Amino acid sequence: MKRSRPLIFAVLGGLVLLVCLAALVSGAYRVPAGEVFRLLFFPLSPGSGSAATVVLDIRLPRLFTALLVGLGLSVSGTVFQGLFRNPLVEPYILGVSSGAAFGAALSIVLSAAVFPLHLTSFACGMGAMALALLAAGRRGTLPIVNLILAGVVINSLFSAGLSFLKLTAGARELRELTFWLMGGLYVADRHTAGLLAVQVLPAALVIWSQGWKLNVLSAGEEEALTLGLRVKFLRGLLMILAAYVTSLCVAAVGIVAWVGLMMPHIARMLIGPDHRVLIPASALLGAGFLTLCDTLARTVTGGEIPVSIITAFLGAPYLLFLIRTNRRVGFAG
Amino acid sequence: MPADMDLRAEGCRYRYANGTLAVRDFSGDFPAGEITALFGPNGSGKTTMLKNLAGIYTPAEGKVSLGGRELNRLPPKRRAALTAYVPQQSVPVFPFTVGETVLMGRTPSLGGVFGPNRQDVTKAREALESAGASELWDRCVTELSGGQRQLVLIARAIAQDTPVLLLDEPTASLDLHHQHDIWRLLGALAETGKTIVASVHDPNQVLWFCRRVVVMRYGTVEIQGDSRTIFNDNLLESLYGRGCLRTEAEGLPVILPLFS
Repeated sequence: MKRSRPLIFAVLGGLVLLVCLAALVSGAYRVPAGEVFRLLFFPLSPGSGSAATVVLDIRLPRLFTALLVGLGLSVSGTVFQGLFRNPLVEPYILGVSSGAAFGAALSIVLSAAVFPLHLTSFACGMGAMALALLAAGRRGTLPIVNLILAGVVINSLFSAGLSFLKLTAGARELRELTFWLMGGLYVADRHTAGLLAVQVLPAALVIWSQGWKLNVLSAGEEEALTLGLRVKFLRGLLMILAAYVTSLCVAAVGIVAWVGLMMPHIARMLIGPDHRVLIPASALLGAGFLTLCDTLARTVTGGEIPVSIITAFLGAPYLLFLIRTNRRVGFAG
Repeated sequence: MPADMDLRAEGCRYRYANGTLAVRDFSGDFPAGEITALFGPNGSGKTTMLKNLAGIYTPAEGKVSLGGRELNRLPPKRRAALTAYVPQQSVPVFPFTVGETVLMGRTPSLGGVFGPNRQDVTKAREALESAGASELWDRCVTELSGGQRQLVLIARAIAQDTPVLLLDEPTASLDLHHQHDIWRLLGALAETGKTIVASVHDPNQVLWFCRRVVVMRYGTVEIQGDSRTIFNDNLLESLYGRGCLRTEAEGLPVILPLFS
């Protein structure tokens, strides 16, 4: 089955733009689309007032954060699925999420002064990945099965640590921690968006530039070796980049479920497994999907719903629908 | 192709991480322009040795050289410009098209970072055509039969355009018709001067299609040379522990196992 790739990208791009517009327009304080355009393209024109504050200072940074986190998780998921030759893998496989959650708990439960939230969570996420890599390595090789097992072990270690911290936490801290663990973009400000932009985008570009090699790697280690790739180096580089991006995202907004597992899947069904086009497609899908979910999270009820609840409610049935109707499934067996 | 494209292994020794010494001491010659069979009973170290020749494994001792150039010390990319490897079976996880799969053979000669260009596509199409499977180009590898998949992997190795082609039991899972197609294709490739090494289980296929044979047992070379002179009753009986009858049919030598 041949589909026009430019058409798919045009449709995806259009949808993402629409979702962005919806995100800027909707909310407790309604700003009409025309006003949003005027604010975006002529921000210095007079008569802005509170609409300007809402759109430019609150919704725009939150929109960028959602776009970047969605893109980051989705691209990392694509990389991990390709490297592990397994479509059920998600970016949290190497223990990044439980490491980050443990870090967040340190900050929330013990002391935010000693353990700044984002920094600690990021450091623990990366630390968890480093431990998993160390535990899996064997005589200079890095067997995939060992990696998956090491990820499971590291995950449960940090989860145990997290449970212990929960035990010692007071009611207020526990509530805050629970909310953080379910993920939410209410924390996003210009600072968050900026930090994400300068780190996630370059990392994603480097990953994309290795798209063809990722194709060859996904054919299997021995074959990639005989096709002239420096397998160990490449796999290490891509894994560290993907875990880095994941850690950044988790540290910024907490643990967002489903995006990193499902968006690469859907992208593969749409456009095929060639990572040169799969990575940008999956990036667009992830960015658009998380923005949509976040917009719903802050508009469907009076309050704010953790975004993971929305991603799961929207995502899971849709993936099921695709699997049951799509003949060219994203993987075999 | 000049005679200095002969592949040679000297005193190779390889031990798996779990301690199994799969190749004890292997010295063998694989001349250019011929198909050489790597033959031997199960567990004799054929596949391990083939992977040593392909650079997937590095021998702990000894060396593999091509025209006097030692291969083990080359970086993977330069190595892959010299030897291509066709695994016994490749289980595709993702539904790449046949075209994309054959194109992967161009990886060692890619210059830029973004993958193959139009010229590479042309070469890949030619490779698939020479394997007699050009109609498969747009199909997904996940929907192919075992035989078609084997053809695609061989086409990928042809697209790699190397002087040496190493194949692990290329016809093991194929029906008679496809077996013959593959051997004819390999014969044609050998005639262009390529060095072809294939591990083979069936003594008849060795007799019919491979002029040269290297017989392995217990991780070492038992005997090597012209297949039609080497394959006598004594050798086969000592390899398999049962008698074999060598006869002829329609002018072709045939080996039949004797069941007692």
